Amino acid sequence: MRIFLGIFLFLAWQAQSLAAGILRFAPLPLENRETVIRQFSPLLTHIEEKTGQPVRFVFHDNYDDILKAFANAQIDLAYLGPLPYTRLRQSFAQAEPLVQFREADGSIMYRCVLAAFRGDHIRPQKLKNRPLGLTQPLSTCGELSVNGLLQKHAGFRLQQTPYRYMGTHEAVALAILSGEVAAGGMKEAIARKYAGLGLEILARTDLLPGFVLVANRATLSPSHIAQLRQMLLTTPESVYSHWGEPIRHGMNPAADSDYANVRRLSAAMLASPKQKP
Amino acid sequence: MTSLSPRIRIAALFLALFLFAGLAVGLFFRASYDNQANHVARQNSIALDVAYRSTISMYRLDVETRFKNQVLRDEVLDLLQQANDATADELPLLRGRLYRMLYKEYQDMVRTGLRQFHFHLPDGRSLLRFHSPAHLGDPSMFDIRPSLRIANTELRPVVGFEGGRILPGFRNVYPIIRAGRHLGSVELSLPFERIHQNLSELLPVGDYALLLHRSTVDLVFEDQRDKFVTAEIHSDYRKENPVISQASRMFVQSIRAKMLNTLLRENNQVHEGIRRQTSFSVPILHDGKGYIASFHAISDLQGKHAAYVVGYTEAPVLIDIHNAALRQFGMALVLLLMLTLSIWGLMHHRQRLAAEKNRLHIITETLSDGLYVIDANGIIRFTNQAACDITEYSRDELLGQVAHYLIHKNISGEKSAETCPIFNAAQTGECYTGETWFTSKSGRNFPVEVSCRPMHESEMPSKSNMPPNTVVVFRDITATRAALEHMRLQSAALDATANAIVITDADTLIEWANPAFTALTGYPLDEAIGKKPKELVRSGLQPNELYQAMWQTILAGLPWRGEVVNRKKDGTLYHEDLTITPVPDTQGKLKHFIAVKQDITARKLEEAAAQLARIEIEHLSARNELLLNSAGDGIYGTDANGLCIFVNPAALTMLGFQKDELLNHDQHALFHHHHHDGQPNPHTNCPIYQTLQDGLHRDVEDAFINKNGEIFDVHLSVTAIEEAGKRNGIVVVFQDITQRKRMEVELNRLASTDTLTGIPNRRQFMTQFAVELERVRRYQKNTSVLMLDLDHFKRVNDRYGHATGDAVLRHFSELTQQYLRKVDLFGRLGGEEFGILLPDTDLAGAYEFAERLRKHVAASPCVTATESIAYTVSIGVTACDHDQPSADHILAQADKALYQAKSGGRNQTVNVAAAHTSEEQEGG
Repeated sequence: MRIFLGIFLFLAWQAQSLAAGILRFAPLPLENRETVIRQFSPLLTHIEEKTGQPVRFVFHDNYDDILKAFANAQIDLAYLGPLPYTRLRQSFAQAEPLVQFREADGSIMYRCVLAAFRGDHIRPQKLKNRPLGLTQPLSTCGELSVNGLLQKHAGFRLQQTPYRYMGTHEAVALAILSGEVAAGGMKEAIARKYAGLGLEILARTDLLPGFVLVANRATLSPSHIAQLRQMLLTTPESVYSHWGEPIRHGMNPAADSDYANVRRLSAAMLASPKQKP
Repeated sequence: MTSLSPRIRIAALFLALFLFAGLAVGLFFRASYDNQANHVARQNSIALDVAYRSTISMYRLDVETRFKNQVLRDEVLDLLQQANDATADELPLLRGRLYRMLYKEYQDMVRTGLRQFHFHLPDGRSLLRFHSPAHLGDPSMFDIRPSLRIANTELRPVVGFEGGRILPGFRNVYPIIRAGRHLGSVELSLPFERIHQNLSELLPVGDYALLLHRSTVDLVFEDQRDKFVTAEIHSDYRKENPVISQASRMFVQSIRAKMLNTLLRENNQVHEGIRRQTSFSVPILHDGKGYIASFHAISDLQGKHAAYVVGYTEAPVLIDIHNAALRQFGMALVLLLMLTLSIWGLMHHRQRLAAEKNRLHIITETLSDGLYVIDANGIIRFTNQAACDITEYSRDELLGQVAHYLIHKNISGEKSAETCPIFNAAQTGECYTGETWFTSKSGRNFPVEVSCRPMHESEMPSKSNMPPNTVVVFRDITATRAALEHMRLQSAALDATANAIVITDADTLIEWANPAFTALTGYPLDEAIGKKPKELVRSGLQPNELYQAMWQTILAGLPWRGEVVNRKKDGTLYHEDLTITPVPDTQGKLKHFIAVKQDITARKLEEAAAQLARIEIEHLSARNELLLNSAGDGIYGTDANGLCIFVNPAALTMLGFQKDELLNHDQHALFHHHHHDGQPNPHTNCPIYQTLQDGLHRDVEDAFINKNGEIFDVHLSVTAIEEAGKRNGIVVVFQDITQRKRMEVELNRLASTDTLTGIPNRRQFMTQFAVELERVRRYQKNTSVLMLDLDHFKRVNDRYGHATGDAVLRHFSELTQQYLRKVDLFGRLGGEEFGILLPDTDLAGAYEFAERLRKHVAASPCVTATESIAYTVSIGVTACDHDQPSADHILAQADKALYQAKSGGRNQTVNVAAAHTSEEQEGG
């Protein structure tokens, strides 16, 4: 009975949202909400102006919640890292990548790094049994990358050392600086940002596909999705250059095949036994 | 364009004054409310200022403690000293160590509300921002951060509001000095979020926001600009983005703040305060609630305006103040209205009194009668212009003088005022009416008709024992007496023809008869009145045909004359020459008959004539007296548009209208729209409207139309009413002169015309003869006179009757007039005797004229319906000598010649010279 009632309420809410014509956008859960709003508000405003549809933020505290909400048709658009996207796509085939956002250097690929405070004189091999900082479980630069880097450069797996989730890339960086963790995984750009405070990169991954804007075919029609993609790809630089740092360097068309590397890393990690300290 | 009446103008003036005063009172209470409201607002502003300063002070102590205990530690100072000496490559490591060293302290600061914790090198470069560690390495901030410059150059702590690269804030910057070495500075800043929290705790009922001047926000890093949005209230100010600032979000989401932002955006007081960049507060009333918006100005460290702390609070006291001001304003308006109405009423009353006074003045000044007012001592206190004109004294000469001694004593013989009836009337307060004599300034004595009446100015008896003033109206009756004398003379002229006169109505009932009638018939007047003459004097000796002929004639509107034998009351018979004249009214309908009876008995003739003359005089006198008594002057006045504004009873009586039928109506349209002859009387010809236009006084004769449509003649005296140099209307004094005109016509006709032949009667003939005789004497002219008498006329009467005799007389009259020039005078002197006056004709010429006439008469018989009656005439001719004493003497001479002609066999002409010769022959 409760299940039926829940389904009924969900359908009613969905119908209400659709009737109102509102696009629901889920940003990254990794950074603080103030930063997210500052970074993504211009994008949402641009979509509103071009489509005439109001767009609102739907905040979730972690990737798992975002993926659940997406699959439950509570999200129309989501800004996701590569790993979350592949996880979402694996469980919810209606997730369709719209565009990839370029890095500051114009590429559509980036790297994740393992970083530590230079004053601590830490080498990867010495990290065993030292606390590590990760972003979030489904963050590309989290378990997926750190596990791969540790295996490659330290000879042990992530599960063989203690680690904790700090929430965001920046939080990982600051946790390293404050001495809370000995090292942590983050995007290379973040590590460079804090280099002025003595943060140094211990190891890098191969290039990974960039962050992607994903549309929900369960809530948006194919023509609507095509219209959004076309609109975003034709956005002039004079417009997107004023958007937030992660999305201000331009966009490329995204395809599911771009994420094959991520799927491989993911498969490798899943192949090793998971052992949470 | 018709001008407004004075009453409406005054009403409009008072309405304007009331509105103006009401506006002034309204402005006063508005200013009073504003003062009180601004006072309340200032108190609120002071409260906000105190709360703000309290918050800043509280954190200042906290910051100072943290600086001393957490920053000024050796290990921290060691790192800073190393940073001062480090290369660029070494700095990151030192920053990281510093971060790690103070990381926990910073977290504690954040928990207490301090957000910004920032180390600087001595040259102003940023060393480490704990609140934004990734932003580092920016060059010297001395130019944009005066606090850093001061702290690092003057080496003293700096406290105050200031902009910045990340967020503006309330800065506490301390120079860091170790053993005399300047190592840089540290800054601990307080964000507005924290101040907002404290303000909300200290002043819990308000909405608060920080509005940053755009120049302050311009310092922020480009990637941090989206932390700010434009303030709703003014485009020069920014506020923290409500999306990221809880304080700003609370402010934006407050219904009260939304409403007040909308109101204040258009508020001039806000714009003016912001323009001056000073602290101010604005009281606001909206939807029955009071609010106060306080703007606490914040300056940066250089004293330049940087921001406003804005507080919106509810202020119910404003409603109380506003309601009190409204109540006071309402009461003041009521009092003002009452005062205005009182003054208006007073002015209206005064104006009406002035108008009444002016009207009375005009009436008294328009009156043709003299009027003065004397007190109980006989001293003149007031006089009108007519009194001055009549007495020839000026107003100043009359006023203050005892009237009796000035104008009355000389002729009255009453040297002492005590015996003067006017003086006595003034002393006793009684009325007096009578005739007396006055003396003018030039010494002319003239008869006056005087009427004295006490002036009781109110119904209440006077508290003093002094009798009231007495108004004396007098009329110079010199002209009236002369007119009476003249009429008496005219009446005397009727002596020759007037005998017994009877006036009957249309049914022949006697209305009036003169004493001669009584004398003639023996019937006294009271016995005759109401009876028909035939009931009294009819002898039955006349044939019915005579009466039939008489009635045929008079009913045709013609006079009838005949001789009848009547019977006196005592039964005796007498002969009378009876003339009956029908008198129609203005519509031609027979209203009266006038019968003139002449006793043709020789002895009776003279007595009857004398009696008739007396009766006539008395009749005329009585008629005149009646006219004088009944002809009270009608008086009315109009306004500038010709609308009647007052009218006296005499006028109402004459016009036949009720008072309310005249007042406020156009007098011209009511009773002056046609002339007497029935022709329309346009406004442009109306003397009354002419005076309305040019203000000139007019005395004219005209005609009025009474309510029944009857036109009657009037004499108008029209005078303009001038008030304060403006012509406001006219006063018309009029007399009904219908009776007078009718009398004049009738008297003239009776006095000058022979009713049978239509030629001048004896009186007229003699009057003009006397005038001509005067001309002869003055200019030595030749003039001749003829006396003519129809031969054997009695036989004509006896044979053919008097009607035929009258026809012969009329035939002779018409025949003779064919021979006359315009300058010749022809009159019937009596019976069949006629006279002719030939100016500028000598005796020979007159004789020749007489002969031609005599022959023509003899050859021209009078042809009636049944008869052809031949008749002749005898003529006596004489010339008017310059030395002859009178007309009667000359006529006597002509009569002698006529007698000669008669004696000589009739139908002949004899002149005076021939007459003398014949007398001499007879005498010789």
